[in-house]
Amino acid sequence: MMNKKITFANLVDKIAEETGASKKLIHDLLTETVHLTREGLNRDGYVNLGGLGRFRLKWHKARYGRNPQTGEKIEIPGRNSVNFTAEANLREYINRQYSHLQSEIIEGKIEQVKAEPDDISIKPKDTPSPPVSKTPPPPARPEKKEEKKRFPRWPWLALPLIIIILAIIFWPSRKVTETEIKEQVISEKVEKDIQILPEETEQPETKPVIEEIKYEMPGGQHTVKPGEKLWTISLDFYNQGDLWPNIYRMNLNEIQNPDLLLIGNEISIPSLQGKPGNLTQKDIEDIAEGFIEVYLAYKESDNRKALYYLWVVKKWNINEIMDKYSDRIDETDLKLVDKIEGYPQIK
Amino acid sequence: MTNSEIIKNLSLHLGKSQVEIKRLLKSSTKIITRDILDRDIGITIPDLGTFSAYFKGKRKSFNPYHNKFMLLPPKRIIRFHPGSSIKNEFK
Repeated sequence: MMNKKITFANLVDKIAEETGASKKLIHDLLTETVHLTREGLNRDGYVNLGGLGRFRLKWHKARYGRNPQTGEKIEIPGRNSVNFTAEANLREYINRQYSHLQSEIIEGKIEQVKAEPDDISIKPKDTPSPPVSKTPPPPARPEKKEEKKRFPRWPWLALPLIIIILAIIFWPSRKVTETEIKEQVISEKVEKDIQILPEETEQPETKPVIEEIKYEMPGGQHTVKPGEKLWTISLDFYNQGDLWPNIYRMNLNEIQNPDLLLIGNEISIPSLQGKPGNLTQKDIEDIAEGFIEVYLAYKESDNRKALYYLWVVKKWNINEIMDKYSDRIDETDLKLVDKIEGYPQIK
Repeated sequence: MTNSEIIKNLSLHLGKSQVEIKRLLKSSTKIITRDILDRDIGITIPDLGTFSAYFKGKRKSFNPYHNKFMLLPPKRIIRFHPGSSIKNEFK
């Protein structure tokens, strides 16, 4: 905060010295401007003082408060306050020593949170190791354990060999007796590695299962009721409002402006192969097409929201759709969108 | 009320030409900014209020558009504190 202050009389003296006018004139000038600003605030609610800034009346609404001593509820009446904003030139002049500085991005908490899933993926590999101790240990066991601690990577190199050996053991119905001897010797190594293996083998098994189950979100016909928007209709049918461009895509002839629905309009709603949060590739392509249609519609009416819809499709990185519409998308918009970081939360 | 209206009214009240009034106002605002506010000195104008400048250091803040934390540079801010008479008038 400021330490020193200058009096009004001193200010008048200074201005009089600089301009060569009489002190009385300057005094009258300043008091008259103060008088005029009050008049202007009363009349219009704002006053522009060239070179200094703008005064404005701001209305604060009436609100309820409490008496801190008794706890009673009091109604605090609304009031006006006089606000002042300095002119841009003045602000620049005062901040000229900091003008070369710019805001910098700090690597914040968000990126640390993103790093966690990688750590989790390592944990399951460590957890299956304890069951190994249940297997009957041969006498030479403790020595081997120590070796593994020193060289934790070598079992991975031996993996393919062990798999081949296992295949030989289990496929031909136990004709070979020598393999059984080998089993006893290598039992430890093998069993440890077997327990790591199933994780890798399970994953490809589970993925196809998810694909086979098709949660079809049923589409159909819908007549628009009063108070409905595309967002609410999509919320009713898909349980997610974000997917409304998918509905808009199917009804380009019916709906001219995506923000405006006419009551009684008949809208056909496309069905989805997957559920929101677990959409299939085809669904995402359809929805991306809807997003681009919305972008084009907003672009025609110079709506600033248009860029958001282009950004979503760009981040999804679906090249087929981008190629299909490449003639109608502005290149300047694409460059703008490329600079924006982050990832859309719609999936 | 706009700036030109103020200049017109001042020239009527004080009996000076508009050009002269403009010159005087320009030099007075120049003195207020260059000699007073820029040197961290406050000025109270009677019946209006106090003008002062204060320093705001660099700070960390969250930018919701980029979804990242930003380090904002230091700056100085001009502040107007309305006087009691003007406060009561527009209550």
